[in-house]
Amino acid sequence: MAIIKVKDNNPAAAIRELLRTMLEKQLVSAILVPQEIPSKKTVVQTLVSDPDKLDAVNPLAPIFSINSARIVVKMCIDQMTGPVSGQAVSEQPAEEKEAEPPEAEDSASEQKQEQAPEQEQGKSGEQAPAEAQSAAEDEPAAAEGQSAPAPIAVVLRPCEIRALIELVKLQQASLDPFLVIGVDCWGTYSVQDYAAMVTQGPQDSSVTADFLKQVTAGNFPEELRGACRACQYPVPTYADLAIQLIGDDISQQIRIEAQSEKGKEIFNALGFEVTAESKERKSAVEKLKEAKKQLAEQDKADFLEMISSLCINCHNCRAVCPICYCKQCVFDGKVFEYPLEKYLNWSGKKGVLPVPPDKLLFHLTRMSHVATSCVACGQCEAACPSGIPLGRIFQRISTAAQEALGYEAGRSLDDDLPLTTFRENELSAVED
Amino acid sequence: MSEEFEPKIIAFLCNWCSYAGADLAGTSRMQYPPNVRIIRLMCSGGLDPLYVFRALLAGCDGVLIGGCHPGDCHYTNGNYKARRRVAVLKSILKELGMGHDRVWLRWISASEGSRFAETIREIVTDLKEKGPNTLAQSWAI
Repeated sequence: MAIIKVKDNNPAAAIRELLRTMLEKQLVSAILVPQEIPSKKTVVQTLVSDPDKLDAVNPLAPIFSINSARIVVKMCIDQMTGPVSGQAVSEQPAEEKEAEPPEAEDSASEQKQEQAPEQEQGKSGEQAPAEAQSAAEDEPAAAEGQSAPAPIAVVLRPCEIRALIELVKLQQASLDPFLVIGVDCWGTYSVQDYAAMVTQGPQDSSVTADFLKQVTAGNFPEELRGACRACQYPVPTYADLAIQLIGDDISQQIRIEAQSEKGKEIFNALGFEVTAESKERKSAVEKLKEAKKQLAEQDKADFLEMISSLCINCHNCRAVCPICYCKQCVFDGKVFEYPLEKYLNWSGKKGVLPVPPDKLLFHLTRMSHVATSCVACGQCEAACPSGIPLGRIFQRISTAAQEALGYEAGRSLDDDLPLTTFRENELSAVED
Repeated sequence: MSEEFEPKIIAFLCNWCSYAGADLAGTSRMQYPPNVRIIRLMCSGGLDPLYVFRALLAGCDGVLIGGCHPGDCHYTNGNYKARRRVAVLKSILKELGMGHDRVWLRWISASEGSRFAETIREIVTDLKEKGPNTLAQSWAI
């Protein structure tokens, strides 16, 4: 844990400078981070490898256009090939080695194995008495450069990290190439609302600054996305490095915490002065969660009717969902292409058949597929052209399903996926 | 009372226990209501929830999922996994108000012909009390 000073009342700039330092010191090879486009109307995810191209970085902008866990999955597709097994995650380093150029394969991997222990010794043995800071700064970068490349930092919101953890467990992603940097999150606006605020707001004001001013004072803007209004996960808990804002006066300072061994290495290399956690943080986080509970919309809308009447079967919700990962969806197959005769048969039975058919069935099936891993990020709702409150629906059913199985999506890599495991004595209420 | 409501039940039964149990009920000439249509699966753990949703949406009044008793699964633990899936399925149906109480998960062994017959009698009585599945009647759903 360390304190990062904030200058000019601009915490986003402090994070930007931190990232710049990491790139300059080659602690990371690139950074996946949201940047404002020149017109400032929105932010896009960018993969930055030049420290001079970080000027528009703003991970605090209250906008959430894509769940970046999806981007991370795309980025590690080549890491995921090879035989699928129960231990795919732990086998990953071995597979990487095999992916070396074939002609040099044997010697290269042997060399690597020989090198690795030497470097370890070098670090612990020679370094200790030497000048601690500057040596520690250079060493990991140099060592990483030879054996494994420096990790790619990915700056993510808590719900993105949680989705990514689920995807790793579902064997769709690997954390090995990445350094996950989590950032506290008070919530976000829809892409449309954010753009409107930028265009309509005064020239010299910043939507991010206004937002931070309001939420740190405990006021939550009307426009906050439905999923964010009910969010109970404002802080990253399973990142490598966590950037903490809640509980501090962010006009003065923010904090950074290493949450994993990988994070600790980078943290040490950055040469921070270690401090304690903010005393107010715990209570501030609890207070925020409580406030969100009050904000959550309690309506008992007729979800069934909404889905079956409003859905146009565009499947956008499936396209943006971080958890819906199938390469080929069952609903795109021949199973759901019917001959005319079948339509007439169904229509004849009821006298009237709403078409296209299977709208509700599609959503129910998606629910049963993702309920146990859904992190309630609400991207499905943002993607729905008909305005179905899918985020709220999925939040409710996934909470119920995860509670029933005693599971919490995105909590840890150590919990087994609930549908791959079981206990002998459980769920007696289900057998009736 | 010739117009009395007769519920339609779809039963997904596993090949090794429950289907054999139903078979035993038949060969033993046990009497049970003819309201059930049986679909044989290799294992209760192989039931895709999609088919349960489909059955309920298509107008079936109740769904029975039958598997081997815990510890007796032909595939070691398929029934335990089925139980978890049914838990998810039921919580979805419950949250949406779609009749989670129209789905039954029962363990019926190959020797329990009478338990199968009793289960069907019980379900039919229960469904007659509940009345028809309204999902099927409304064209809007």
